[in-house]
Amino acid sequence: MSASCEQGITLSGDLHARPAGALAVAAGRFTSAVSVSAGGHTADAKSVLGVMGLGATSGQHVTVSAAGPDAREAVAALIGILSEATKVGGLPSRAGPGEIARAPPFAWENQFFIPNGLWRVPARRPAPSWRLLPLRSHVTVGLFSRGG
Amino acid sequence: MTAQPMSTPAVGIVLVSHSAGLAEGAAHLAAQVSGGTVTIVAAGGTDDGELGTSAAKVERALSRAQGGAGVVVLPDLGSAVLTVRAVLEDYGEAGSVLLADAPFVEGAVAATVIAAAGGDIKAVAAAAEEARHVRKL
Repeated sequence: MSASCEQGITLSGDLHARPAGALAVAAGRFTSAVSVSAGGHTADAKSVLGVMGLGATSGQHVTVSAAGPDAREAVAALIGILSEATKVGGLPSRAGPGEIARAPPFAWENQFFIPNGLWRVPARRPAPSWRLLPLRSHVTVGLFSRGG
Repeated sequence: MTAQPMSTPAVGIVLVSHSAGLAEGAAHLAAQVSGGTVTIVAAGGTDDGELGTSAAKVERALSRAQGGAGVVVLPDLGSAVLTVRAVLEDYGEAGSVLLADAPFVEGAVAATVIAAAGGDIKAVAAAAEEARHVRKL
């Protein structure tokens, strides 16, 4: 039996990468076609890049639509994720030990925003002081010491 | 894509980059976006830690990522493709490995999310390749 279902929600936080990922992973487990709409744009909810491309932000109204045999369950699940995952601190790091090769657990406290919204990862060593370089010095930087 | 019960193993992902830091960073990002349930193995840099690619690293990564559902490999730049192809020529289970022609970061994230949702190896590779067409602005 096929059905269609639709529900809206007002976001309590921005739809960043991890909430978008949680949404797409959940959507991918349903048979129904599922879409997410915000700000006049619609994305396939199973496409994480499409969902991120919506650029949905806090306070924005988002609509989840589904068509297929499990449409109702899909919409309920995704609305639940949108409700929880966009809260500040609502989506803790879920990467458990041993699940990800060579990927240490993500620590939000080690990340911070710079004003233009780009991610910035703290440098592991102090940034060089440009004042130490004499003016008009000729500095050659070898980017590639060997071929690829 | 083909939905699978979550008890079946997910498709593994191997990220082959000229830079170890780039491969590991992309693996970290993809793992976080997809929820950490997929095996993502970074194979970046040469054996002595320089910029470049290593057949030995790629071969080890393929073995680590193989959980029974196949492995999708994403190379960053052209010569990484040569390294992966050279490894696959001698790799015993080459039929269970797909090399995806995809943007590295977006493809890694998209592929891993589909793998986490239970997609099969073709669906995971297709998700990576479709990443080329998704606008971010």
